[in-house]
Amino acid sequence: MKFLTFADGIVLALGIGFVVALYAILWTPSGDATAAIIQAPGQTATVELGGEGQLDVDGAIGTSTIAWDERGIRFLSSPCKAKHCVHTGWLTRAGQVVACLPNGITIELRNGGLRYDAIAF
Amino acid sequence: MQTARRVLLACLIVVFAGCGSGHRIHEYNFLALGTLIKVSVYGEDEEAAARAVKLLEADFAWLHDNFYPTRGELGSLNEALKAGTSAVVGPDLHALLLRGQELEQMSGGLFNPALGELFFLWGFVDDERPAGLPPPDAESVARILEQQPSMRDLDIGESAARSNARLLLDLGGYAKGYALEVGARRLLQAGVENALINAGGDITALGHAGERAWRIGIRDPDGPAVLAGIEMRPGETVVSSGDYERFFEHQGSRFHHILDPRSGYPASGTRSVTVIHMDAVLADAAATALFVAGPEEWINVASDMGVRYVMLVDDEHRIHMTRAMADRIEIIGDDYRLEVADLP
Repeated sequence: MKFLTFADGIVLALGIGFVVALYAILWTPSGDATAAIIQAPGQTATVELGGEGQLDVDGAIGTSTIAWDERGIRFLSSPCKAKHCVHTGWLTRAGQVVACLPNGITIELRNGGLRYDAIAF
Repeated sequence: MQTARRVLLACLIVVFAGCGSGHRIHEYNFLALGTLIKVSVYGEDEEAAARAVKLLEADFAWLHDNFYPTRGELGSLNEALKAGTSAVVGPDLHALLLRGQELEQMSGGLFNPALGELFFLWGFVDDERPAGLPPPDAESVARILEQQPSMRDLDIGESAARSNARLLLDLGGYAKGYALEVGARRLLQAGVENALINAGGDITALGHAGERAWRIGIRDPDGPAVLAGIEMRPGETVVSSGDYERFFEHQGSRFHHILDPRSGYPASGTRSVTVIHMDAVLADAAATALFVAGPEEWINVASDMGVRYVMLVDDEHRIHMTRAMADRIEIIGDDYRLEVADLP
């Protein structure tokens, strides 16, 4: 009896290819974002990208407005003084993170699975 | 076909084991130390994880209230120093001040928590720098630097007093590292062995995220994209210091918050530095010192401070890193030129 038939070999190759493809899709750190995770003190919201919308998020010092459309997602306004979060502009790629520290709000872009558990900055 | 079924089953087990691990991470957010704290706990039931994080949150709140230059214990000490008297210091502050002396010496003075007056002058001590405040004039900066305030000028016992009239304390350069150390200890005491504590981008890893290591992305100083990825070893802390964290613009010039103790002005030549070390306090202080050291001197300062894992991004689009860092980091994209250096 042969250890592996030709059909077994095909299935084996397909299986390995399937795992390699999943690794490439889920673990490599680039690609267009499909969702944004918005975190504020005591609350988390997930926004599916692709459409168009706007969200008011209450933070530590007031309300930040976050907007998204086909270009990506961004802080439209925030009650902080320096407005670094607003000036950052559009986030478009998975892995990108922007924070309004005074207001305690972060936006993190993801693409399917989670690439990183945290971002050092 | 039996073999084929076994192979397919094995593949699916590998795939679904990977998917399943993501569902057992509980995430918690709160504000402390002037930043957003995120704690991710793996493997504990939700109630136990929440209890442990509550304890950590109380620790961070205490540190926030006491180690800020104008509040609590450190605020009282700074007031006493200004008045030319002394103030009693508790065990945490005592330990932190002694570490400050050691770190200043190790860094050759590039990390100097005794330059609090300079940080006040620049307006970088306030949570939010007053809008429109111009950079300080050269005479005011020179008046502080002439006196060369140093942690050596601080007499630290049960109380602390200064022998240099220009010495004021700002522990912001390593207080987050200390908080991470305290937080990691607290979680371990509470029985949490697998967690990630993220204090505004400075991160300590405990254990693993299930079958895999905790994965960290390192920010590109040019924007919010990720520049590099790294897997953390249990107990390690990763700290990044960058010119994008706090800055202001005045008459077309940009001034960031990492001041060079030699000039009294923002350090030039560096965009960001990332350090990984088992000692969170050392990692925090070293990231600042190496930023100040710049692309020419960083490797010698890294050697003096005993840090092996360093990455420095300079203002000419080059990434400098130690060989040990190069061996474990994954750089994303090809926007930068890489230069790997051996520690002397």
